[in-house]
Amino acid sequence: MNIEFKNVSFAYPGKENGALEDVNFQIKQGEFVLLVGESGCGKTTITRILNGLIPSFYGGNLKGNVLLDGKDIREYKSYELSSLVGSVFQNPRTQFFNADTDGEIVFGLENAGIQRDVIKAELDRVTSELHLEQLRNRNIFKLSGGEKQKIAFASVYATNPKIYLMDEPSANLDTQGIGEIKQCLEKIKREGGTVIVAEHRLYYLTSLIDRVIYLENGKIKQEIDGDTFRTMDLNTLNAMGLRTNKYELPCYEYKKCDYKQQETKCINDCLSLKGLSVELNKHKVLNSLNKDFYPNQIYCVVGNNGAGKSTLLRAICGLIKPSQGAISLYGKTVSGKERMQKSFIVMQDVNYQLFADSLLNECLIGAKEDSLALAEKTLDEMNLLQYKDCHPNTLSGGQKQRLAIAVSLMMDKEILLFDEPTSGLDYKNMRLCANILKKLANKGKIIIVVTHDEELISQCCDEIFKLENN
Amino acid sequence: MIRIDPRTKMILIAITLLFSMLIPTGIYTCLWILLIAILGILLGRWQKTVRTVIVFAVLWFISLYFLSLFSGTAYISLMVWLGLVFKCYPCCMMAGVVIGTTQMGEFMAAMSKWRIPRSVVIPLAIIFRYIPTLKEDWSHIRDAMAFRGISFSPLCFLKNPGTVIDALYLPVLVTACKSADELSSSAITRGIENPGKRTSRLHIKFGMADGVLLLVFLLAFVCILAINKGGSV
Repeated sequence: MNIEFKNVSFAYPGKENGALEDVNFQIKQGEFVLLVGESGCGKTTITRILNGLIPSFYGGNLKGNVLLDGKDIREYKSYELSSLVGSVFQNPRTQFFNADTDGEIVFGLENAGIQRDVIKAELDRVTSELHLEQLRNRNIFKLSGGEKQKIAFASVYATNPKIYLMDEPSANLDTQGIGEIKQCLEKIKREGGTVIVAEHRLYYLTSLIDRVIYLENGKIKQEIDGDTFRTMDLNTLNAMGLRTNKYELPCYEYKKCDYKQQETKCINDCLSLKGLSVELNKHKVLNSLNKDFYPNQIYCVVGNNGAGKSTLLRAICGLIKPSQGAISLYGKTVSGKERMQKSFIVMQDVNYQLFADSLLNECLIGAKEDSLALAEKTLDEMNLLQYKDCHPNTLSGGQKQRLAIAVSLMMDKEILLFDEPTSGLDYKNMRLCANILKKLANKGKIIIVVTHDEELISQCCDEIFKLENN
Repeated sequence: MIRIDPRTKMILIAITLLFSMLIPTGIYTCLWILLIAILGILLGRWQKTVRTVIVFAVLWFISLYFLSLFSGTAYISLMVWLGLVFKCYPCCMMAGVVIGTTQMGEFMAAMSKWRIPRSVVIPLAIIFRYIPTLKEDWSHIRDAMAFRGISFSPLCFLKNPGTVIDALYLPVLVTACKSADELSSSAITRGIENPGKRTSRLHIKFGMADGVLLLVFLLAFVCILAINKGGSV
């Protein structure tokens, strides 16, 4: 199916970000097109126009013409469009509708009123073609992010759409999950499907791309063909505000430490795990871990799903109780309760952590009477002072994250833990995040970052700590 | 383990609702709980069913033997609270069994067979789907509060109720809006708004089991109603 955008302009009601201004392009049947640009440049807006969510769901004023095989997109009903355009979104947690995988895969077919025997046959076809045997008849809530994303993809694949739209499908996935999504995309490309991906992380798509559309402030700045894109070097990409197009990053030159044999050496100048084991539901997640974490250093914890990365963070900060072993801080064994007072997790979804009516008040919750000056200084440090009277909810993702960090500084926490701090961040915000991590390290904080973002690791990591299953 | 038509489940919920409305709390409430428990176990949800029965039994036991130990305001407020709990218990338990054993696709197809308009079914489906997400959100929020030195403990709540409520409702609201938006847009792009008749991967048909269950529940209800009207309790 051929797609054509003719003089398309759009603005969200009451919002500046993500608007489009006089956008023109064509995409031919079978092309693999990547939409790139900074957050708010309008790439997600383009995907929403194509799947009909704009204007039917998000409102706003759409000008110009969007043609699918010459027919204006506004002439299609939402359910007619759904059989032509399949969408996979960013957040694996909120794009499935059924609690069971089988029901989810055939959801689109059921909506379209397809006969039961055909649905069953399609379910089997999708299972064998996408190798989903392991995922059939499972509870989706219990799947990993990568597996959820694969089911989301399978559900779209089952309806056999002409166009596949992916809006940051990798944002919440680890390296393994990204690999799985890549395999799915390779398959559609081989089968001649049209694919449009809006992404910040580019390396996993490099080999598949036919064309890159680079957007800036709602306008198409440049169209780059696939071969040119593949030869572009890192400096050029970074200057455009884009992330790397290659997987090989210097980060793996860092030493990997073998945490089992290593004896803890530090006496009174670090956070030290001694024979730490954690059991969850009688299942050993962490097994006698020995590890020292020194201040002024940035430790990155990597490892596959289920290796216990978040369990480690939760054990360190006292949210879960270790089944064996001890944790000491500056030479003293500290209880879970004390650790809770001294540590702070910046969560992956930082929305859970913010609840005041302004940035300033957010910093002042639980603070002493005369902390106003300190709060302003802290906000300034996080480049947020200009927004001090705004509501936290009006901030962007990266800004909310910095606000949470400001809160931890106000509370004078010594151990700062980060859970996937760069998921969904563009190059600029990822760099900013890396710089802030360095700043915090220089303040003498103990910093542990759980991440699968190789670029973040190469920007700021001092030591990689790899967790493996058991 | 048996499978029954989602429509049967809806009717059973309706009967239970009538039961709660018309029959005063008493020994029949226990009987009804037992019926629901049997249904829950038949539908393969034995663990949670047994747990809810135990909770009910404990509360019932308290009301029988320990309530008389209190007097004055404490007695009245406890009695009112327990009365309310016993009134709602059968309906909540039934709803739990139904939600826990019905798949979304099944539910929507059954509603479509009843020709209930999509404008009613879709919001209902989104609410069902949102409950487990809320549970996940809740545990994240509790963690987030712990780092700020806030907890749900009665002591903390008494000290600064405002902060506890703020720390709870804003994150719940913000994440709920976001989740609902994302859920809806994902459902729309997969054709949930299609006005045609919806099909289902699972065969949805009234069978033997449906007939037997409906008969048992209806008979039990009618008998209890008759006895009650007869004034013997």
